Amino acid sequence: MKQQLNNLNRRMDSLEERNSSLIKRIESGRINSAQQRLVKQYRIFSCIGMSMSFVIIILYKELLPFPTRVCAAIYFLTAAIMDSYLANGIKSIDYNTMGVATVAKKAIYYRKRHHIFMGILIAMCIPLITSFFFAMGTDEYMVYSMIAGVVIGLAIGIKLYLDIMKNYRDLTLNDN
Amino acid sequence: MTEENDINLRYKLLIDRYGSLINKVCYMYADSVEDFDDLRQEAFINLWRGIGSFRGESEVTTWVYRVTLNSCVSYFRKNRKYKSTPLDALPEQASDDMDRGNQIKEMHALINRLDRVEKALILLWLDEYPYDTIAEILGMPRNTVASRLHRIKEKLIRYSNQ
Repeated sequence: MKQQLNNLNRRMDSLEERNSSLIKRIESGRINSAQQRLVKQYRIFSCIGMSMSFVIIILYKELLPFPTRVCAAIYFLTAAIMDSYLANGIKSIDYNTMGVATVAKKAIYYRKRHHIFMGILIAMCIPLITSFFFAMGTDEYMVYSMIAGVVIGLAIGIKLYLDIMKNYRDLTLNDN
Repeated sequence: MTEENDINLRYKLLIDRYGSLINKVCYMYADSVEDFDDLRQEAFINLWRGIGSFRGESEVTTWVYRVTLNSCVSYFRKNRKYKSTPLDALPEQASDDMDRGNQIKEMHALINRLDRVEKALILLWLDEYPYDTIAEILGMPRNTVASRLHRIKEKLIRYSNQ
């Protein structure tokens, strides 16, 4: 195997040209790492979640009853806290100083948490949408729109949920 | 501006010297050409981000290996809608000796059956790093490195006999 790895070394030398175009893009600051993109994404969603929890309490007074607004606010606040937790966790991974075993463990841990949180939020959606239905069920067109939304949402949600579970199982089996 | 030029120069020199090491590690963690390119990009970016703050606390090779391995072990494959290109398609692979190519493919398939940390350990051992350096890079006690290495070798023998 050591000889095969040496053979691989020689082959990798010939990828120099592939390296130089990548270096130019990195030095120009045009690309970010996956870690940076992920942290930014979680932070954006966290801000959106926080904002929505206030917006729905304050601005939807005419449209929704108080209990429904509280449910929705709790949902968005929960999502915001989860995203903030993931953003901080992933940001804490230091590629320069941490050991490989630690980085692997943290990466898998936060990836699993991502899947668990998604599962929880999808499940929390169900009573929330039900409460929306009861709150706005008097208007015929609103009912049709909500039914259409539920059908489409269910189709997408089930696929997403199955993907999440598959990824979670793969992580558990392959990486512990 | 001078400091920026200095960092750019140091980075270029680093990639010139260690580029093939980075490519090799990323190759061993990749399943397709797309994964390989993604992993290389990650490693290169993380080295770029870290080079300004690296003060020689460890050997440069050790640091490069650590950052590259960390980039690979924290990478999660994208769910690609299109079919991915096999690693054989890398032009350097296609043009080389068939036997050597097959041997590398076999080695890759064998090592690919290990988990992320085991892969890192066996790569470091195959590159003939001392146990102390391996322990430092992996962030594990030396004894753990030795016992895990022993188990990994047994696993690889079992896999190669299947």
